[in-house]
Amino acid sequence: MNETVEVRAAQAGDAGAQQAIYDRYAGRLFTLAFYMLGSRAAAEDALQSIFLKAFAALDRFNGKSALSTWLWRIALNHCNDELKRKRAETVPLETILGSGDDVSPEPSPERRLEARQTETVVGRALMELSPKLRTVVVLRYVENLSYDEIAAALGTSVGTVSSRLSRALAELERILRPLQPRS
Amino acid sequence: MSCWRIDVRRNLARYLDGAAPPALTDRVERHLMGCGECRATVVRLRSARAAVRQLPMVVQDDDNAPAFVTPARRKWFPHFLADAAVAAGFAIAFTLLATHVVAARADWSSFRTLRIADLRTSTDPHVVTEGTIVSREGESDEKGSRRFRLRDGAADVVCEVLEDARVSVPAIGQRVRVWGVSRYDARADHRWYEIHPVLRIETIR
Repeated sequence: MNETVEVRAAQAGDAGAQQAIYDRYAGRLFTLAFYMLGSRAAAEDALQSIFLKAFAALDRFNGKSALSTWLWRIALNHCNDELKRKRAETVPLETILGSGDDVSPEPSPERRLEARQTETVVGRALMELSPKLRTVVVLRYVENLSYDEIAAALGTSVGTVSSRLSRALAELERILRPLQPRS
Repeated sequence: MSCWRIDVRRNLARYLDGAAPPALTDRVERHLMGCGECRATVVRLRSARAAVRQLPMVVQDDDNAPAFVTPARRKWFPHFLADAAVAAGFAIAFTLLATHVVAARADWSSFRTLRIADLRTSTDPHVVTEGTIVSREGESDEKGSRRFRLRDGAADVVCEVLEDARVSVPAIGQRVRVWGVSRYDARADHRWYEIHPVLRIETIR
């Protein structure tokens, strides 16, 4: 079933089609919410809210954009609203390390430890970026969206995406520089 | 940064990613030939990009599969969501059951014995370590679980017992051996290595 047919079926109440849409996008939206909100618990709550909003509004989806773009927008709006709502609170920095079950397995224990430490350091640096800069970094380098897809999801231009990414990478490098091994 | 070519600088990420159209790529490369500052910036951006590319996709816990409820949309709202709610209930029940069964049947000899000071370098999640209980901090902020601190020499570690676990925490000053899962808690107000959950405590003397 192609996506247009699937969306129509989902709009008509086909539970299988709705399940297929959920299965296809839940993982990526969960990852986005995790990096935007900084904790697994917040990401889990966000994922439920995002799909609640998406399915409640599905009959208003008109197919002018890709379903993925539409879902990214709902997810980003939700995460930004959450961040605004919790602005006074400290962003929880559970980051990536956790139990180690969070991430894909690495080839050896030594490599896994090294990778987990790197992920933690980089994850913390990422959380220091403003939500606007963090968003483009996650969409580009974690979710692997193209510049066009990111621009569509954010409702902005490719040039603006590139500008934000350039600033974000410069900022990340500034944060990470003291932690780099000296040669 | 004193280079005035904002049109180039704002496109450096796009250039690095190979996502710039040919004319833009050409413009950036011609500029880079004559601008050491932007060349240095490219090196720095590349370094940051390599770091951030190591961030993994995050896997959602199966135990926390969504269970949506939308009264307003119940008429057409997916049956699978109701199924998910039931499944989540079973998952929670199974987890609780499994926790107790695992604790009851665990092969404790398979847990790696480590000193507290060495926990931070361990890649084994299942560990057993030894120390003296130096504080009991009552209920933690997580679902009523109990937290205590274990010390051995100069090193100490936070240990957390889940609310449902049938594990008693001995008194302060007691020397104990603790079995559990070693992990790093990276929350802003924590940032410590811990044993969480504690699966078994054995009093030594």
